[in-house]
Amino acid sequence: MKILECRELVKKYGGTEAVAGLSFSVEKGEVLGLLGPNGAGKTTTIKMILGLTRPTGGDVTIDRETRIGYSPETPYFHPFLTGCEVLRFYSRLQRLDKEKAEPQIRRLLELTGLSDAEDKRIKNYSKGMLQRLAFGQALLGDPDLLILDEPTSGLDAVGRIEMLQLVSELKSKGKTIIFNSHILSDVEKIADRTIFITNGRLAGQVSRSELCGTSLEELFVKTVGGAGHACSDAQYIQ
Amino acid sequence: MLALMRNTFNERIRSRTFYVVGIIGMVIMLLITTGNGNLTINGKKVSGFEPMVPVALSIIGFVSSLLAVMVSLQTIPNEFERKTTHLVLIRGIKPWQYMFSLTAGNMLASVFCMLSLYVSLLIFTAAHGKIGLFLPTFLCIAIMSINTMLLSAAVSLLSIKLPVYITGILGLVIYVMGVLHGVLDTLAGTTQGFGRVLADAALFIVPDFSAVQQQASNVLIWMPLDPKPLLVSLLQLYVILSLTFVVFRREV
Repeated sequence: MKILECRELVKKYGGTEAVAGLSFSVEKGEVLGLLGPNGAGKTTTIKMILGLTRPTGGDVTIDRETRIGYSPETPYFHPFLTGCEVLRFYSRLQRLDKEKAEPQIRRLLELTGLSDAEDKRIKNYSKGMLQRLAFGQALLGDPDLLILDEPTSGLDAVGRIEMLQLVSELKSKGKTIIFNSHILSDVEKIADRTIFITNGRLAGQVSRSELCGTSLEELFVKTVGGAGHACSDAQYIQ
Repeated sequence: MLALMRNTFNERIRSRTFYVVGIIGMVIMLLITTGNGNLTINGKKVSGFEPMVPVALSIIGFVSSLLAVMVSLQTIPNEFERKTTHLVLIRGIKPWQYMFSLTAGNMLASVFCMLSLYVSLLIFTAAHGKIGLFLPTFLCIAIMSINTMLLSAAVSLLSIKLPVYITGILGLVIYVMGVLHGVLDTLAGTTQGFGRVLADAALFIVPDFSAVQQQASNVLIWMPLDPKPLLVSLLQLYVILSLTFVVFRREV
């Protein structure tokens, strides 16, 4: 069952085409990896899915009942708030029931390892802490679809491992996740299926079962190096 | 929307700049109204309650307007620059709800700044043994808050689309034109033809801060109150707030 479908998405900024006819879908319970070089159109695609920017062409279909959680690449919060206040603020915007929200906030602070820093102001948070808080706010309200944009960037080795564990746990609970990362090994560990985006187009996709021994890195290099090479690969679906 | 308003209000009043300007304003106000400043206008020493009331209100009007511009200037651009907009808009908050809430938060913070300055006016009133004037002072505060809210809302609206420095300059221009509304009105009367039409149009748009301030002053010195400038200002405030429903940035 499809939870999200993008059809022929196009986004133009003046004369530049950031996304040029991109089509893909995400199945319920699937973890979809998004891979592509810088400027490939991944973040623009995410912004269109989230409704933050209007597509120039094509459309995005998401079931109206689907609750979406989003963790941005560069976490941005009001610096005068504490970690706990940030979660409280966003829970109010989501109109979560106050009595249900408070235990959830506590749980998320614990889950993201921020319980000790919950009363610390955001301006004093490290990049890794901000990243974990961004992840925490994305989980508010128990979303059906989770969009994680570079969730491991800014994290040290331990933080990265912990973050990937958290994502794996969510995956095992049947959450649908779109995982955008430039760290190929992270995507390889987490994603059920990975799509390659170059120049705003779908250059290819590969599922975990189709990898069989080939590393995602090899496929990525082939794709980014030239779509012709990628097409000749048997495990690679254009 | 209330959560957004409260968040904006809290962020604004926690700004260090606000406290610095506010304290300077209060000190100037206290020095002048308590007589320690030896205020002289046109070579004549101004003292006593009645002559000092318009002076005190002008000082409060000036400092609170400056604070209103400062408080309202960066709230909305900051949201776009920090991209806190993303995490708000994905939660089903409509752009108009967002902009209106931020503007309302700015207005509340500006009025709060203004109230802090009125503490010195209350001290001044008490110092002259006019305790009975406390109640009219509150009415005076309510009237003056129309000016503050109007300026704050106008600056907030401009800041949705314009860069911060241009918004700041325009905010100050609106304030100066608003304070000199009467003078500009007289000047406009001397022009003819298309120039007259332009001048009239500009004066119609620019709020008449001086007329509202005059009414606030009248309340304190038991003079008759003219509701027309107040109603016109409230109508202008309504129009500005309505515009926050339709103005938004193309890219968030």
